[in-house]
Amino acid sequence: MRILVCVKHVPDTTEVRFDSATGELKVRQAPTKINNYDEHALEAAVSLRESAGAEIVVASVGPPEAAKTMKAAVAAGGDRAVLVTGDWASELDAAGTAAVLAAIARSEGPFDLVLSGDVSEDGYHSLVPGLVAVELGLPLVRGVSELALGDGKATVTRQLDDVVERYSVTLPAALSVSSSLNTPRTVTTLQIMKVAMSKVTTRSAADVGLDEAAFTGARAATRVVGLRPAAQPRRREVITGETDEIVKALVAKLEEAGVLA
Amino acid sequence: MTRALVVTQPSLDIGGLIELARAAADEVHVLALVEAGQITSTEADADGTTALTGEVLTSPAGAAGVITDTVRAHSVDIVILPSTHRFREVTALVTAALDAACAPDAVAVTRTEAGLQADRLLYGGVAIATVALQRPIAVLTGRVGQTAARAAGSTVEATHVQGQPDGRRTLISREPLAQEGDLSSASRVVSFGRGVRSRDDMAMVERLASALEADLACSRPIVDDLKWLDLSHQVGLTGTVVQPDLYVAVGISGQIQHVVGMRDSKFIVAINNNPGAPIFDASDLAVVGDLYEIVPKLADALGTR
Repeated sequence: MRILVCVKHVPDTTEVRFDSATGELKVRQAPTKINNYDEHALEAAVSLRESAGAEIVVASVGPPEAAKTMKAAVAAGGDRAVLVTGDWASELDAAGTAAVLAAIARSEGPFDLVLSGDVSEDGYHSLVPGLVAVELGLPLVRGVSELALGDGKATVTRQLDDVVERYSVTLPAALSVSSSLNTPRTVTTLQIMKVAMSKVTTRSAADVGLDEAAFTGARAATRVVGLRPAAQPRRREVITGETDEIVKALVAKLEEAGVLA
Repeated sequence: MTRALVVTQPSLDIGGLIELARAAADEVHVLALVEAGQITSTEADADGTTALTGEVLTSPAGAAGVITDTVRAHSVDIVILPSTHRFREVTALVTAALDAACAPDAVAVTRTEAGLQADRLLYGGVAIATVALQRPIAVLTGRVGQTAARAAGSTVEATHVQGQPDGRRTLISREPLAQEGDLSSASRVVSFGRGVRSRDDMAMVERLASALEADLACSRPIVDDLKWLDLSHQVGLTGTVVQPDLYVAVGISGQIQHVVGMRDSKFIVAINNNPGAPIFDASDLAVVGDLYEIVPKLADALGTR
């Protein structure tokens, strides 16, 4: 059994802020990490290796510093990692990302399972798993919250908007997982530092048979051309003190706002 | 002429999607994907409604194939799908098949001299990004209502389409989830997070919710990590986006992914013992104190009004 786990190197969005003076978004200063949702995909791969035996290859495309995330993914259970990188790789759209991940899958493959998280924390497109599945000609189930393998098939459960569904999917297949699938193991900084750099292979687009000019800049499917703050200003009126005072003030303010039944 | 196709299924309120389409298209058609035996009606605001049915539509690959054929046959420029979990696989498959430019969860779309542009949230909801759609065909998704509360048009007869669903993926079972009302249409919501320390303490929050005649909701860790409530109660980017008249956040720190799900509420009250909690930046009233003291007394006070 061979499993490819696609992971994304993302800024910690809880640390992304607009500079109130300049109005500029401070993304580059934000700390970076492995996309939370992809950690669940990696943990699922590790469980499958424990029960059935598997080789786990981690794939990503991103800026050179994403090598740090690759090391974290190996520390969390990947056998090795492949990062396609270049100065073009930090502002890739979903279609470009999927093209590169599929190219990694082809050059390192074949794989029985291609796993990823349902969404990325920064972009929230939830497109890449499906686009990769199409590129590789694999059936896809997203939102996987339970997973079992047997007889060349994956049996999966997922919750959609108002139903719970169970599917049987023939391998090879692509699955994207929900964060309710498992609890990822925590990895210490020391464990990440101990990962040998030889476990992380860095490649260019050409190394995996692609020309980045075909899917970046003006030739990308989508390109971000403007950013502005999303937040609506709020009153932020502080109420504090003794509990009885707080409750009294709160009821009065709710009545004044006309929002009570 | 720019032509938009809005894809739906019976029981969804797609008023928002038609509005999105109108902003950039001259002509707006609706394609309803109908299960055997279901009926659907015309969308009064659209220029035409087509309903299709057939086994092929039960798999995302089959549905995507039918949508792609419709787009090609009618020279559609903009495809708009509901941003529900059910349509997310279809969205990716349609995007790939049409080599389209896709902007999921679009909040606005505009026609510019340089081509179509869509606005959508980025970085977990901190920013609104304007995205240039640099392909001949654009695929967008947008928020829908879960109940077709709008005036129904005339009934449409669904046309049967041929084809088999993707045999590599077979449905074993489909069970409806017990739904306790649709949060997206609630007029008052009381939501709680990690500040509530044990499952038994949920009763205290429920009592506040009932005193306010509000629906009970929660943040992501309560569903994903603790599993005290199911996904239908979760407010946030991965749960439900709510916009009630009153939103009360009890013991919720205010991760951006939660704030995105509630910041369109009319009036927001947060109760938290940490004066630096980010939830307060998204609140009208920032109540700094111990929720275990405030919530029961607030419920009492509201109950005796």
